[in-house]
Amino acid sequence: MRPSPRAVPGRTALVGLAALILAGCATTPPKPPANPDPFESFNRDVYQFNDALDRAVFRPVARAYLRYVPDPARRGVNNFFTNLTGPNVVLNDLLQGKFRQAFEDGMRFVFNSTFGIAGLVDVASSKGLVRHEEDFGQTLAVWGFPQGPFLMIPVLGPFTFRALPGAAVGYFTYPLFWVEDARITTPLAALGFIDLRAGAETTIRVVEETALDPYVFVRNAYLQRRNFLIWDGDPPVEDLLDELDEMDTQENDGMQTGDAGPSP
Amino acid sequence: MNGLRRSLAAVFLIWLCTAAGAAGTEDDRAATARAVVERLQDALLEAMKTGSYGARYALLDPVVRETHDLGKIARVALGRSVWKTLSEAERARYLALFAKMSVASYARAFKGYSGERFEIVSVQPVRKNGMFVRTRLHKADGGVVQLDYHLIRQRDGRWRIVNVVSDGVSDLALKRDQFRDIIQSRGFEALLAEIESQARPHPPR
Repeated sequence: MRPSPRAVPGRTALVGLAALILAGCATTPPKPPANPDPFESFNRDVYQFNDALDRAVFRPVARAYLRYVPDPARRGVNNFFTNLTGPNVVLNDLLQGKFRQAFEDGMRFVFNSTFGIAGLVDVASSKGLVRHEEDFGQTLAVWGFPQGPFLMIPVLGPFTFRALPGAAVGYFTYPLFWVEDARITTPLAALGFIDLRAGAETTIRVVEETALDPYVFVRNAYLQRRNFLIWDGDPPVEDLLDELDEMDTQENDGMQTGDAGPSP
Repeated sequence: MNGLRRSLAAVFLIWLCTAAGAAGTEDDRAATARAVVERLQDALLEAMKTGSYGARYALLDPVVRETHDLGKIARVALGRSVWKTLSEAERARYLALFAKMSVASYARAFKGYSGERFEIVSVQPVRKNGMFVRTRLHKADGGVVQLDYHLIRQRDGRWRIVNVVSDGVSDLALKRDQFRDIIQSRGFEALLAEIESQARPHPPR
């Protein structure tokens, strides 16, 4: 997040881009709003719809895929589609001023697309080029744009207002978007969707098995996860520590009233 | 001059001892906190190799209660303002159900061992009486889950887990958000009913 001053070539576009990057480096992601979900009742309806659609269509397909397609094949498919997000990751590395990471992710994409047979094998990870998760929604956060309202989008699931442009940028930077032959793109898009849903199976099971209120669980977990990605895996823990401080005073209250402690 | 030198040497010696002592306790603390997390994770691996839900629950019950400060977790999850309004009986019921739900969620999630392993990445002190233990769960399919434990030192000097953060998702925050929502929309009794259903082996959903 430190601003890194560097010489800029004379072209206006580059100057503009560099200015954006430096502006981005100088800010930290703004704090989430007090009420992150002003459209809750609408969002809950969409959640119900998505859940019903998932149970009727996507879940059976994903479960069949997980049951009948062998693990190495599924891993290859997942590597293939993950690799295709490479250009989007590199673009957003650059927009956030992470030049070293952009270089690594660029190399990753090149290695996996060539030696990794169009991305089917993740050769880069075994060479120490680990995968980074970046998208334009995170870039906007790093640039200082506020999170905006939480949104549940039909079919696609949880989003924030700030993450929506990220979906569009992800779409246009996806190499398959530039392939015009529908005979290639349609089955690949279907397979990509199945891969995505199969990858979420464990998470969805966790929600079903441990959530008291599945909607609130999904919203909270999604917002926390986005924050984690925006801060590159190291979000500030101040809030939690404040909670614990609050709890210490609370504990003193508890002492006076006779604290029950962990139950027998 | 000699006297000054001697007293300086004495001061230096005292400083050295206290510095070494402080460094020692710092390391000891980290090692103790680390041992608590290892104890939990060893038990989780053991549970994964254990067949039935009942057996896993029985195995994990004492370990989860010992390694976690469930009373503290329960109170933060509920929020101070709600906790204050509860009667003694309500508090006791809530704490008992909360502890059962915590054990049950571990017993449900950690099953079907297929080569998983835990790795402790780092142990760092955080603010007062806190320790942050970063770990990774390496899954059989090559996937990795980042599991971070926040521990607090108790009055008796023991360390206990007060929060688990998996891939950036804090369990405490997740619980508190849900609890608040259920209490606001349906009340405390409804929350107890939900927790009770989660404490059972197979939730109705």
